Amino acid sequence: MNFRTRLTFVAALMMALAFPGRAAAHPMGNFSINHYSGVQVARDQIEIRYIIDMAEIPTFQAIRESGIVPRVADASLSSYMSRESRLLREGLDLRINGRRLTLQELDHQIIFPPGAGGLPTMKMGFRFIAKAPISTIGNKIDYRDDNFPEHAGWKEIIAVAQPGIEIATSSVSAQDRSAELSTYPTDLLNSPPQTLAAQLTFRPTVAGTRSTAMTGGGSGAPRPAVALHANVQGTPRNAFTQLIETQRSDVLFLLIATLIAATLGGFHALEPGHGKTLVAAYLVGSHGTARHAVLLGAVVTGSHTISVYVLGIITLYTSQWIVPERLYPWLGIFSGLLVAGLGFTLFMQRFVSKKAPNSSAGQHQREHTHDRGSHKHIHENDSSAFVHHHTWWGGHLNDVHAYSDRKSQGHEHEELIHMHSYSHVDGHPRHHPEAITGKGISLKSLFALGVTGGIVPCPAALVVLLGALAIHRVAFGLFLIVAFSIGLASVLIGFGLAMVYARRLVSRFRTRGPLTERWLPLASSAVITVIGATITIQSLISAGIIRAGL
Amino acid sequence: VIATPRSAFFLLIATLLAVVLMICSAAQTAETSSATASAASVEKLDRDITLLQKILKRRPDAELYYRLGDLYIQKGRQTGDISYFQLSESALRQSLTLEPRLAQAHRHLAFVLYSLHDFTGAASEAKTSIKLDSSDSYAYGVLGDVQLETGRYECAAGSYSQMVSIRGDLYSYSRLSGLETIRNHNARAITDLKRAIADGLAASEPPEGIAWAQERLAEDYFLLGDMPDAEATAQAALQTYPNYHRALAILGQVKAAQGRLKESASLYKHAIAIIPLPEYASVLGDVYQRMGRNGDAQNMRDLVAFIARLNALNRVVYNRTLVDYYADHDLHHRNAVVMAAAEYRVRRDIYGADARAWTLYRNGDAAHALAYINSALRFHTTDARLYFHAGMIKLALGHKRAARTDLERALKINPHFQPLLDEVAAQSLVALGGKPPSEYAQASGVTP
Repeated sequence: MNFRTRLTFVAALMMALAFPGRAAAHPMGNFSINHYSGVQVARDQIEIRYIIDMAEIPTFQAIRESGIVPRVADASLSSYMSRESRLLREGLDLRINGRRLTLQELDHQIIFPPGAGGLPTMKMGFRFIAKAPISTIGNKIDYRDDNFPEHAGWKEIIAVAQPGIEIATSSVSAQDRSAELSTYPTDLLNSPPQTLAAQLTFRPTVAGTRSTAMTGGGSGAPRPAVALHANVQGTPRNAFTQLIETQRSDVLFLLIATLIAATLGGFHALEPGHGKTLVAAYLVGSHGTARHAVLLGAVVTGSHTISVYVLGIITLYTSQWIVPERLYPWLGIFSGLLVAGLGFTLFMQRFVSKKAPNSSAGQHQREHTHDRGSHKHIHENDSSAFVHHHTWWGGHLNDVHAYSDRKSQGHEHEELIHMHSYSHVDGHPRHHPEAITGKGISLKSLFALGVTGGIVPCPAALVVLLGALAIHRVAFGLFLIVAFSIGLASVLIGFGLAMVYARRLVSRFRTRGPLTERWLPLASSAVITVIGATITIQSLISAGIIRAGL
Repeated sequence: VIATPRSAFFLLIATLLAVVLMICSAAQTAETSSATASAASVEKLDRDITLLQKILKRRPDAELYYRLGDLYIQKGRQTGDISYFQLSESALRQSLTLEPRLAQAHRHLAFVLYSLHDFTGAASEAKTSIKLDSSDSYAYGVLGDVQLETGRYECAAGSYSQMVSIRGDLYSYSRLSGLETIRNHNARAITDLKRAIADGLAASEPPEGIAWAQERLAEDYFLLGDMPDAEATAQAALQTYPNYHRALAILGQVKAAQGRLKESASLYKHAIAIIPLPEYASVLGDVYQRMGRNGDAQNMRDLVAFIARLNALNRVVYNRTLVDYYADHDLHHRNAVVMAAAEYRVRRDIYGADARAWTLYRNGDAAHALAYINSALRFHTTDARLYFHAGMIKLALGHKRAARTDLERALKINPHFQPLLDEVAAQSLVALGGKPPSEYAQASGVTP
């Protein structure tokens, strides 16, 4: 496998990891080659608008065989399109009154709409014409498309007449069902047409009289040059990955791209279960100041950016030995262990502390100085957090069973940290005055938490990096990732600041009770431990380290 | 009156030429008429689909939806395009919404689900169909197919027995032959397939259905190492249904085994142009490699890898072709083990056990592989690949005598069962002090 192919594979894979369940194939299937011929009869010529839409696999084959770069306006496409134009014309048999006509190309276009997992598909459009001296009566056209014989796909021919021509009989419709292969209505009663031949008879009308096709309501007006469009039912795309494919490079575009990337990074941090945000909220809300929030955001940004670069490089250069999708289980194992460790530590601390739930403030302060992660006072928000656990837990565990997607597992880990943080956000201000001042925060612990928060890279960012490498826009890709990470960090900082400033407000609503103070915190940490262990075991199974039976 | 010997000579030559021309012409006519018949069949199918769609748009009807589902199945089988099976499923479900007790619709739905590898759903629908109409042989047939694919051979035998007792035709005899091949009843399997083909022709069944049985017969001949019959039957399938991708592929396999690599490559290329299945690309890669066309071989392997990625994106669970490809080419061991294990949880047929064994062996775990390969060979199926795998696993475990027996058996069954790996088998056998068949030694240059 060559470098570029490997890049494409890896980018596709990462795309799938980034958007599980949304990767959609070409609407006509991964291996289809779809044909469209729009036959337009004029007084002195016949025009064929000929479009070929190749799904992912034939596109891959075409790219490999021809060596083209799947990028609009790439230099390699010029000679390729000339060759394809000639070969495709050879496969089209157009006859008028039994005499075969020679087709000439007027213009062409090629695009590479993304298919499953962002892998390229290829759509080529041509306008062919043939000079056709017609008689006043009894003109007959026979048209046959012999290209890609037997290959599955949508095969559509339509026939329309230009002003001055009247189609008397036609074996094909004038109705364009697929809008030139840009939408494929494949419902139960609209299976793909399989029309590769057409016969029609026509006659000239009185000069200047406008005529339309015999069937349907096709327009007889001359049509402009081919203008191809991606399939309407194409794969749902991510705006971030689309940015990388844009050809512009002016300052305005870069500015817009940066803003979009940063915004998307921010939204990514806000996605449900994105624990990076809540790691920050936890730390800052519990102990930190605005300064700590900013610092933490910077650390997360740095570690996230670096981890994207490192994982990208590892994925690229070790794909000979490591199947890329096997990397994510390891991250899952790491996440699972982290969660389990965190849960277990909390559990032990709470177990020990529950023996003295109402100890003095001085005692709390003493304990807290021993361990910043130790929290002895859980209030009413713990209760709500615990309910939240149950709701979330059921849903996500089902997801894990349905998909062995490593990214989901990573997020579960982060969600758990997030839940844990909610259960402590308002617990400390009253009992730990040093947390308000921020004196208890060590740079070392803040740095460690920041790195932990950012070390599992977002697959979306990884896709952009690999996609950029694949299409030789490395610098742009790297730049976008930085912007993405900055956006992500901004939200983290925002959350942290919100937590810092909302602390006093939230603390007004506390209530106390043995359930919230003793058992719920204990159960909460036990659940975290169990789920962490579950994630770890599932990841171990996925990685093939543990065998689940024969 | 013949005037001179020279005149007589020219007359003889002319007569011979005329005969040759007549034969050629007849052959061409037969081929053309066959191609025309096949094209007509395809056109009729498309026409019927369009007609039913038009009627159903005006007037929904359970029976017509069932018939549309049937036509979509035929189209799916013709083209290999899975989306037609999905359309068929929708049509059949629509039919059952209108008439929940329509037994044929349940039976067809069972077949569609089976084709989409939903074995549980398929078995359930087949049983419902049997409950509604116990005289339907096809429902027993589909149930038997599900049981065969999931390794429940005794149950499959029972279902097929019911099927044949109700009705013997193209579909029932060809199904039964599959079980017989696995159970090593090769003569019976071949007789049944021949009977299926004859019945299909007599009943004017769709050409694709007959060609499918012919291709199966060619495969059986190939498994037995009978290359002339395999070739003739594959050619017959192409006569029945020109450009049938499965027939092109088996013919390519036969040519590769015969050492006619260029022809083999051309046939596989043709098959891939129709439908780029990974199994075709995998073998074509091996053929290219054997021809010394390493760049082309790499292209084909990249194509397989690409399809593997697409399958991953599409969350395809059943990946036996890719598992075999990985194991055959010594790639992605751990991934192959995981994929084979995932599939084996549902499909415990002999080839599922073989895939488990072969991937475990490649992953360095011959000890665990042994039980699986023994399970795969529990019927002593005449398949050189199975014996080759068994031989290699036993060799890795140091069971040299058993390994030698298995490798000898593999090469005796079919000296060229698979491009590249047949050489591995021969070399391993030589290393064990065995002697590969003389046919093999001549063809590939491996000497004892």
